Parts: sequence; structure tokens; C-alpha cells
Amino acid sequence: MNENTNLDPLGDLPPELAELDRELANLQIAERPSFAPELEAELGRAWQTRARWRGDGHVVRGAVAASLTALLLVGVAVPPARASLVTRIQQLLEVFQEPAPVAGGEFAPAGAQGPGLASIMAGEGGAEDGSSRRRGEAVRETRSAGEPLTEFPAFRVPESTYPTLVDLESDRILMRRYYPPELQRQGVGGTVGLLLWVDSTGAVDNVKMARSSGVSALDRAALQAAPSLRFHPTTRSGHSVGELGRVRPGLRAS
Amino acid sequence: MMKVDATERASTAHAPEGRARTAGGRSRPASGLPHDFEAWYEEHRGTVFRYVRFRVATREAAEDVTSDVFMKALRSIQRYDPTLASPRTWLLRIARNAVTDHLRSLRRRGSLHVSLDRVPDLVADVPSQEERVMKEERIQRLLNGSQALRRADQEILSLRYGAGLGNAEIAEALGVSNNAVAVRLHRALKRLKEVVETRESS
Repeated sequence: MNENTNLDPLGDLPPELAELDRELANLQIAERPSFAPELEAELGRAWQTRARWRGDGHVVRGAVAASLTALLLVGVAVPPARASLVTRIQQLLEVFQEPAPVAGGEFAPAGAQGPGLASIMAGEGGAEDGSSRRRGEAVRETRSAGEPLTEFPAFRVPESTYPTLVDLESDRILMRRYYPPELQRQGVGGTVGLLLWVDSTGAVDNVKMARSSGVSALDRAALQAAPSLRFHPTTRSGHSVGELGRVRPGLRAS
Repeated sequence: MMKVDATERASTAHAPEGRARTAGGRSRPASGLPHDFEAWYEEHRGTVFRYVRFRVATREAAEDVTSDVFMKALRSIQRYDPTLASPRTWLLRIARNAVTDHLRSLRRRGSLHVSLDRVPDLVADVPSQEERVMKEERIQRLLNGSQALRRADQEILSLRYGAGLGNAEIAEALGVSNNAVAVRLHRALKRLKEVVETRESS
């Protein structure tokens, strides 16, 4: 908590400004108690990650760079490797020029376009064996023209429902019962964000406040009332299961 | 020009294994931060947070901006030059830039206004609910009024009433003389009063 009561005095202030000065100096600014340790831990993690990267990173980066350089030198200096490299680059360029598959999920007739990636990965002889056949034909011909592509198996998505309040009206009455009468009289109201566990029977357990209304008495009232709320529990494929739920009960003077 | 070698200091910190010692001599789990930085964090976090809180609309935004300030400071700790500024002045300079960035992004989204449900953390220890509500409304008016001031006015007010700096420290932070600080504070207060009164009467 901060109250700047020891600030340097500002000389020769007219009374109305002196009053404003005092008012601002007495403004209290409270830190959330857990903020400091949370931030410190976050900074510690950031620093450790950075230190690790700085410690080991240059070794890893150096090794990768050396390996790539060595591969490039071998690829350029040794004639068979150079020829193979050039061939592979040409094949890759052809792949990128290949048109998209035609509608209906079927590829265009073999030989009409350049080779596919699958054929290149298969490493066929291609032009080197003297044949006029283009790369990729052997792979594509294993499937007849009319045969459909194999479909992926469909994933089963379990049917689910989520927790819902059993009786909204009685829950409103319940909330009103906990609403402090003096706040009602003063017309002080608000909405409290609650996080709660709805178990497989629909009962509430472990209520926590996710967002304060700004009025501690209202927050307390909502926290006290929440365990009495009744829910239809969550179901997964017909089975009741526990689930985390959020509610935002509003407490307002009528 | 001497520069802080944070990595070196972190490795030579005189603290027992796995524990660190706070300014008050209390032992607590080590955060793994550089020794100097940890001391600055302990000493100046409150000042930075209060400065930021004075200038932004919500406590959550103040926490975000404060986190951002210390992350930036940690990242650039090796560039800190103690001959140019004290750690507090350096951190507040980073905070001023971070607040400016934050307000600029909000201005683009048009959400600078402080609403009544955003100020409860600034009010405490009031005997009754009525007084609390009245005080919240007054703080809301003051904060919204300060948002309407020029940036220089906002800055000097938040350095004094948020960060709690004395006139000499404000002078160091802004790079002006002590007299200039007194004059600027006087004018900023006068303008804030005018803005608040104009809004109240309208």
C-alpha cells in the first residue's frame, strides 16, 4: 500500500491547490499480494531460458553451420555427388511446377504433367535407364483410373452436454437470500464471476472467485450462495462426469 | 565507462545454494535472477507499479505494463550504465516508454476512459460503504481528469503522486532543474483542478 505522505512540499500553493495536492498524495495504490512473487518467478524463468540459450546455443549453431558447409563443399567438389545434386534440384523444381490435382480427388492422367513428390522419394531410374517414361508413372499406375482414393477413417466425437442450472428462478431467489440487506437498501449491486467444479451429480464443489464485483460483501455473499446452486451435470457420451463451470450471478437491488 | 556484467554477478552472488537474501536479511527461494537485478526488483517494483497504476485505467493493465517494464529491463541489463542514471531513474524511463506504448495502443482502440468499477484497488480503509463509493467517484474523476491533460502534465503528476518521487528525483528523471519541476507541478495541478471542475459543472 502506498500513501505519499512524505512528498516534498510544494511552496506557495493556494489553498485549493494545496487541498488537491494533499488529496492526490493520500491516494492509496495497493498491489495484488501475489503479483510480486508471480512476476519474480516469470522473470526468473525468462532469465534462465535466456542463459541456457546463450550458454549452449552457440555450440549447437556452430555445429549445424559446420555440417551444412561440409555437405555443400562435398556436393560441389565430388563429381558424382555434384551430378546427383543437380538432378535432385531439377526434380524439386519440377515438383513445384506441377499443377494441382483435378477436382474429384483424382490425379490427372499419368505422363500429362511432371512427376509427383512420391515418385521422387521412391528414387526411380527415370531418364537414366534410357526409357522415355516419365518419373512417377510406375507409382501412379498401381491404382486404376476409376478407383477412389482411400479415405481417412472418421473420428468419433463423443456427444457432450455442459453444466446448466436446474432452476434459474429458484437460484435467483437463493442469491437474493444471501444479498446483504444493507447493500440492498443502499442500492449497491454488482456481478461476481465464479469458477466452480460441478461434479457428476450436479453438486457444486470448490468455488473460487474469478472476478470480483468490487464490493467485498457482495463477493462474500456470492461465494456463500454458490455451493447451494444445483446443476444438470456434464455428460460425455451419455455418462455424467465432473466439469469446471463459470457462473456470473448478479446481485442488484430491485 | 563501467557497464554491469549481469551474468558474472549472477554467478558470483554471495547467497547460499538455492536461497537468496532480501534487503531486509530475510531468506527466501532464489529466483535465479542476476543479483543486482533482484535487488532492484525488490527495491523499485513498488515505485514502478504505482507510477504505472497512476497512468493506466486498471490494475490488470498496470500489472501487464509493470511486467513488461521489468522484462525489458532484464533483457537490456547489460546496457545499463550506472554513470548515466540511478537504477530507479533507468527503470522509470523504461516505464514511461512502456506506458506511452500502452496508451498509444489503447488510443487506437479508443478505450482510455477509467470507469467506476476499475478503481476499487485505489480505495481502502474507509469506514463505510457510502464513503467508499464517494471516494471511488472522486478518484475516478481525478484519474479521468488527468487523462485529459497534456502528456507532460500527466507524467509529472504520476512521478510525484504515483511513484512518490521527490522534486530532485523528478528533476533527474525528466532532465530539468528543481525549480522547473516545482513550476510544472504547480501548473499541472492547476490544470487538473480546472478540468475536474469543468467536468463536474457540466
